[in-house]
Amino acid sequence: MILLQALSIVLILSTLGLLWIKRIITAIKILSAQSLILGLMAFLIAWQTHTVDLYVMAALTILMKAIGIPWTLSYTMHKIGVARETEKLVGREISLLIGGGLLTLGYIVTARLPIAAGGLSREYLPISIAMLMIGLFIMTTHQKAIMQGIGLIVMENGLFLVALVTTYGMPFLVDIGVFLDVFVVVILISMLTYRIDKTFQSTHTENLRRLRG
Amino acid sequence: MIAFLAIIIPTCTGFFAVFIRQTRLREMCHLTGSVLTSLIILVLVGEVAKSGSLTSKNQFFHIDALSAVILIIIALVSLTTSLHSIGYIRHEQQEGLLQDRQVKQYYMFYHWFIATMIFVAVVNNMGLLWVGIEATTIVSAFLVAIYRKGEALEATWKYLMICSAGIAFALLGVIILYASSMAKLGANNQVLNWTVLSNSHLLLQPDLVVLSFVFIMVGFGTKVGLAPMHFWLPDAHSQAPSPVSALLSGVLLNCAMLGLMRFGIVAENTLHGQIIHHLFIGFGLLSVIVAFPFILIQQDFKRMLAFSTVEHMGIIAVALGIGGPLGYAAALLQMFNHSMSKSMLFLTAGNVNQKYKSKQMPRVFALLRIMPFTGVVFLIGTLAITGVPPFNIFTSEFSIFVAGFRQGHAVLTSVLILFVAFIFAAMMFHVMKMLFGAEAGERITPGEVSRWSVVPLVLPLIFVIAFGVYMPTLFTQLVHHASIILAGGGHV
Repeated sequence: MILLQALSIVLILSTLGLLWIKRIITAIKILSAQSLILGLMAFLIAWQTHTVDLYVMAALTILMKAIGIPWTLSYTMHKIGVARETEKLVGREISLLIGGGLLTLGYIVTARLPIAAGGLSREYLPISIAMLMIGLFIMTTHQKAIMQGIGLIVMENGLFLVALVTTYGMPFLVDIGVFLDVFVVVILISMLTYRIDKTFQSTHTENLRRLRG
Repeated sequence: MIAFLAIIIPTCTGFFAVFIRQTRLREMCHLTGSVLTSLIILVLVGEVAKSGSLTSKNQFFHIDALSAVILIIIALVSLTTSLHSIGYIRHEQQEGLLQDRQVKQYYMFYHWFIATMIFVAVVNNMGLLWVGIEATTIVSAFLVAIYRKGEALEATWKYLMICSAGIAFALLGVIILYASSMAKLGANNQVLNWTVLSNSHLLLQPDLVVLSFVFIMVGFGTKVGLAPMHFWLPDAHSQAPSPVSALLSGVLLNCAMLGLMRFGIVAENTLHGQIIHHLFIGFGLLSVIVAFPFILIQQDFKRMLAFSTVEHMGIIAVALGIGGPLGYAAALLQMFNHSMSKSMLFLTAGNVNQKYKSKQMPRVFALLRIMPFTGVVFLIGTLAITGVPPFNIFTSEFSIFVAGFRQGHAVLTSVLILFVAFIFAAMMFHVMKMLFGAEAGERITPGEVSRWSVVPLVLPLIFVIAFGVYMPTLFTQLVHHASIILAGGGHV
C-alpha cells in the first residue's frame, strides 16, 4: 500500500529530524507531526484490516499524542520562558550519523526475526525498532530535561508502531492502559521540568548531579 | 468481586483525602481506608489459602497463591506505613517542611500507589500487568517528589526516566510474546491472559520467547533494582518520605518481581532450558556483588538501606534462578521476610532522620540512649537484614544456600555467602557507630518523635522475631502452593 509507505518515510524523516533541530519548540512540533502520521497509519491499517479497536486507537493517538501531549509540553515551555535551545553531549552532525546507523541496525536486527503476522512487519518493523533506539539515544545525549522527556515519547511511539505492525495493536484494554500511562508521564514530565526550572533557574540536567554513590 | 473492592477502596480514600479540609478528619479517613484495604486483602488471601486460586467470571482478575504472597506483603506493610505516616507527616508539617497542600497530595497519591500495587497483584492479563507496573512508577514518582527540593526533584527525574525507559523495553517483550501467542491461538482478547499463557502444554515459538524474555528481564529488572540497572533505586529510596521508602523497598519491588516471575514461568514453559535460570542468577549475583562496595563507603543511612535492598533483590533473583522446590519456596520466604525487616528499618530511619535532622551517619550518635525504642528496633532490624540468627531472614537465606548446594551450584553459592558476610560486616560497622558512638558536640534531648511513629513498628517486629522461630502452617502452605506455580505446576 503506497500511502502507508509514504507515511512511513515521513515518519522516519521526522524521527531523524529530531536529531537535527536546535530549538525545543521545533522538537515539540516535529513530535506532534510524528504522532499525527502514526495516527494516520493506524487509521489506514484499521481500514485495511477492518479492526474496530484500531479506529479508536487511531483517533486517540491523533487526539492525545498529536494534540494533547504537544500542547502540554509547549504550555510548560511557555511557562518557563520560550526560545530555549537544546543542548547535547554529541554534535548535530554526529547525532544524525548515529541516527542513520541506528536505522541500519534496525534493518539488520529485524531481518532474521520470525514474526509472521501479516505482511506489514517485514516493511515497518525496522523503522519502529529504529525509532525506539533513536528515542533512547535522544534520552541519553540531551541535557535539557524536556528533551529527555521527548526522547521517552519517541520511544513510546516506536513501541506503538511495533504493536501496530506485528499484531495490529495490543488487546484493547492494554492499549488504553498504555495510552493513559504515557499521558500521565507527560504531565509528570511537564510538572517536574517546571519545578526543576524554578529550583535551579535552568532545566539543564547538569544540575541533577548531586546524588551519587 | 472482592478484588475489585480491594482496588476501589484505596482509590476512593485517595479521592476523599484531597477534599477533606480538616486535618483530623483527613487522618481518620486515611486510617479507615488503610485498615479496610488491609482487611479486604487478608480476606482475599484467606479465600485463596482455603480454596485455591480464584478467577473472576470475566477473566479479568486472577488470584493464585503467588499473588496471595504479594498481597499479604501489601496488606501488612501498607498498614504499618499508614499508621507511621500520621506521625511522620504531622512532624514534617510542624517543622514547616510540608505545606497543607502537599499533605493532601501525599495522602492522595499514597492510597493510589497502594491501589496500583494491588492491581498488579490481582490482574490476569499480562499486558495490563505491564500497565499496572508503569502506573506504580508514575504514582510513586509524585510521592518521591513531594518535598520539591533540589535533591528530591533529581531523584524523581532519574526514577521516572530510567524506569520508564527500562520498562519500555519490557513492553517490547510483551508485544513479542503477544505476537508469538497470537500466532498460536489466533487474535482474541484472552491470549495475553496468565490463565492461558501459564498452560504448560502451550508451545510458543522458542526463539521469539527467548527474545521477549530478555527484554522483559531488562525492563522489569530495572524496576526491581537489579544491577546494573539499579541507579534510580538509592536516589528514590533516600529522597522519598520514609513511609514511602518503606513501601517502595518493601512492596513495590516485590510487585515488579512478581511480573518478572510470571513472565519467567511462561518463558520456562516453552523453553525448558537453562537460559531463564542463568539470567536470574547472573543479574542476581551481580546485584549482590555491586551492592557491597556501595554499602561500605556509604555516608547516608537511607542510601545504605537502599543498597541493602539491591542486595536482597539480588538474593531473591539468585534463589529464583537456583530453582527446585526448596529454592522457589525460599525465594518467596525471603521476599516476605525482607519486606518485613526492610520496611521496619526504613521507618526507624525516618524517626532517626526527624530526630537528628540529618541523614548523614557521622551526625548520628548514641542512638540507643537518645531514642531507646527506635534504637533497639533499628539494631534488631539490622541484625535481621544481615541474616543473623534467630531472626527471620536467617531462615530464608539459609534455605537459599542449602538449595544452592543441593542443585549443584557450589561455587556460586559460596560467592553468594561470601558477599552476604561482607555486607553483614559493612552494615554492622556503620550501625554500631550510630548506636553507640559518642556525642560529637551537639546536644539532642532524648525521647521518641511521637507515639504514632513508634507503636506501628511493633507489627513488623513481631514478624521479624517470630518468623525466625515459627511459621504458621497456613502461611507455609501458601508459600508451598506458590512455589509449585513457580516450578511450572500451573493452576493450584
